Amino acid sequence: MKKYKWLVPTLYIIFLMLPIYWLINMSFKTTTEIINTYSLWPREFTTENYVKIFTDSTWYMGYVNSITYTVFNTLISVAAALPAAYAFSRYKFLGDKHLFFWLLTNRMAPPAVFALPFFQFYSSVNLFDTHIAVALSHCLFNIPLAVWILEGFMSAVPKELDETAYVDGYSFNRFFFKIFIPTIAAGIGITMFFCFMFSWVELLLAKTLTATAAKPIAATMTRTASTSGYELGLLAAAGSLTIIPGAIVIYFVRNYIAKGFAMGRV
Amino acid sequence: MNKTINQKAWFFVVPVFVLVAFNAAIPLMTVVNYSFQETFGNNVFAWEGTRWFKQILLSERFHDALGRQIAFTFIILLIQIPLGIGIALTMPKKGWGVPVCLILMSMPLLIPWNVVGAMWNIFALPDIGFLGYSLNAIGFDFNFTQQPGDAWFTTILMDVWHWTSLVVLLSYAGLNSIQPAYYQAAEIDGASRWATFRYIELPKMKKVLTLAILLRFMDSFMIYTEPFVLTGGGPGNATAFLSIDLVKMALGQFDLGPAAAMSLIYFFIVLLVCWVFYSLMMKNEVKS
Amino acid sequence: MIFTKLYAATWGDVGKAKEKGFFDFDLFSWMAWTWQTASFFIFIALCITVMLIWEKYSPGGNPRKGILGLDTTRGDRLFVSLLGSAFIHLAWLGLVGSMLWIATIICVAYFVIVFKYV
Repeated sequence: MKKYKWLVPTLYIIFLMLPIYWLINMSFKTTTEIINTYSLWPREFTTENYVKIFTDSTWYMGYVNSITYTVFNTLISVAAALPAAYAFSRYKFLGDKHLFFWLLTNRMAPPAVFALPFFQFYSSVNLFDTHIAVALSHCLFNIPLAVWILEGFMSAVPKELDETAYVDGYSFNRFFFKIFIPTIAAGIGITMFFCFMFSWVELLLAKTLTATAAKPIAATMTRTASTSGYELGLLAAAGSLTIIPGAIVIYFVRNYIAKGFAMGRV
Repeated sequence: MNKTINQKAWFFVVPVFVLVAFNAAIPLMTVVNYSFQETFGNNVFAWEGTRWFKQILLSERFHDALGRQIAFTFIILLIQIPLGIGIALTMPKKGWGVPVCLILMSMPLLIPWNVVGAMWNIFALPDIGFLGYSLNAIGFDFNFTQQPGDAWFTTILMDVWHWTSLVVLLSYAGLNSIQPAYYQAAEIDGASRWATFRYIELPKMKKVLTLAILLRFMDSFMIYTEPFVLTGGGPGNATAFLSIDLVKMALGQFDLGPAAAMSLIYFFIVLLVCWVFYSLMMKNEVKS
Repeated sequence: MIFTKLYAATWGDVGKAKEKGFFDFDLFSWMAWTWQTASFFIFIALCITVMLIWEKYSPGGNPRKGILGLDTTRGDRLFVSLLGSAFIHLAWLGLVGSMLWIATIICVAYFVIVFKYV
C-alpha cells in the first residue's frame, strides 16, 4: 500500500497536465490540420499563430493591458490593506468584527451582480475604458482578500515586537516600515501573489469596463472566437501565452504557497 | 493574542473602507433602486413596487437556475473535498517531490477563467479534442454541445480540474502543521491508518477544511466565465447557472428590474450561507 | 440611451461613450433614486447610528451565548435580524404575494425575539 502512494499525486498531475498539453499542442498546428485530422502531436509544426500574436498590436496590447491593470490593482490592494490588517491584528475597535465580515461579503458577492452598476458608475466618473477603472473595480474582491491574508500573517508576529520597539524609542512610522514590514515580507509576497492571481484570472468585470484602450487579453480572445470564424490555433496560442505569467509567479513563491494558504487563511 | 482597545485604529482602516465602500455600496444601492422600478431607457424610471421580486420568486426560470446551481455546487463539494484530502494525504512530505507537486498543482489556479473554458472546450470536442475523441473511441456517444448529460459531465470535470488543487493546498498546509510526535504516539498505540486519519489528521485539518468548503462554496456558487465559454449555458438551458442566467437577463435582454431583483435574492442566499460558515469558523477559532 | 450605449461599449466594437469634459460628472441620475429606497437606506444608517450611541452608553455590546450556540453581540443580533427580515419578506412575497405589511409585522416580532434570545 505504502509503496504505491506516489501513484495518486502522479495520476492527478497527469490529469492536470493533459488539457494544458492539448492547448499547447493545438497552438502549434495549422488550421487545416486542426480541422481535418485528429493527432496527438502536431504533424506540420508551425509557429505561425505565435508570430501573428506578437506582430498584431490588437493581440499583444491585450497582454500589456492585462498586466498593467493587474499590477496597478496588486499595488493598490496591498498598500491599502497593510495598515488595515495591522489594525485588525493588533487592536480592538468599535465594529471591528462586523467590518471584517462586511469586507468578506464583498469577496463573496457574485461579480455578475455588480457588472452593470459598475459600468454606469465608472462611465459617470469618466473612467470607462481605462486601466485604473479595472484596477479599482478588482479592489472589490482583492482588498478583502489582502486584508484577510495579511491579518493572518501579522497575528503570527508576537506583540512583544511592537512593544520592544516602542520602548527602544521607535516612532510608529519608523517601527512599521523599518521593523514590521521586513518581518512579514513573506506574507506580503504571498498577498501580492494572490492579488495578482485573482486580478489576472478575472474576466467579467474587466470585460465590462473596457472597450478598446484597456481591453484585456482574455476579452480579445472571446471576440476572436465569435467574429472571425473559429480560429482555434490562434485561440490556443493566445491561451497558452496567458499561462506563462502565472507560471513565473508560481515559481517565485513556490515555497510560500502552502504556508501562505494555512497561515493567511486565504 | 489579547488586543488592546483603541478606537483610533479606525484611521488605519479608512483607506480600505473608502475603496471598498465605493466599489460595493454604490453598485449595491443602485441594484436596490433598480429592483423596484421599470426602465424605459434614457434614465427614465417608474416605480413598480415589489412586482419584480414576486415575478422572480414565482418564475420557473429562476427556480430552474437555482436548482441547477445548488445541484452543481453540491456535486462540486462532494467530489472536490474528499478528493483534495486524499491527494494531500498521499503527497510527499519532503524532498524534491514537494516543490514539483506544488508548482504543477497550482498551475490551473493561475489560468484566466475564460482560457480554462476555452481549453476545455478544445479538449472535449468530440472530433478533435482528446477527451471527446477518446470517449467516443471506447464506445461512448459523447457530445457535450448536444447532450445535456455530457455538458454537465464536462462542466463538472472542468471545475474539478480547475479547483481541486485549492483544496489540496489547504489540506496539505493543514497536515504539515501536525507535529511528528502525534504520529509516533499513534504508531506506538498501534493505531490503524483510518484511526490515525479520523482522530489525529481530521481534527487538525478542521479549520482549513471549513475554509476550503467556504471558498469552494462561494466560488462555485458564483461561477460564470468557465461554463459560459465552455457551453454558453447550453445545450438549451442545461448548464445555465445563476450568474449566467443573470447576465443574460441584465445585459442580453436589458430587463434591469427583474435582473436587479434576482441579483438581490441571489446575494441574500450567498450572504446567509457565508454567515453560517463564518460563524462556525469563528467558533472553532475561539475554541482552539 | 444608456442601454444602447452599454451594448455598444461592452459587446460591440466601438463603444464611444458620449464626449464629456473631465469634471462633467453625472453621478446620480443613473442611480435612479426613489424616496422609498432612499428611506430604506436612511433606516439602515439610523440603525447603525443607534447602535453606536447604544455602544457609547453601555460599551461591550452585551455579548452572550444565545439559543443558536453562537457568541453574539448587539451588532451580530442586528445583522441576524436584518438578514432574517429580508428572507421573511421574500418568503411572504413568494408564498402569499399580497398584503406585505403583515410580513413587516412578523419582522418586528422577529426583531424582538432575536434581540432577546439569540
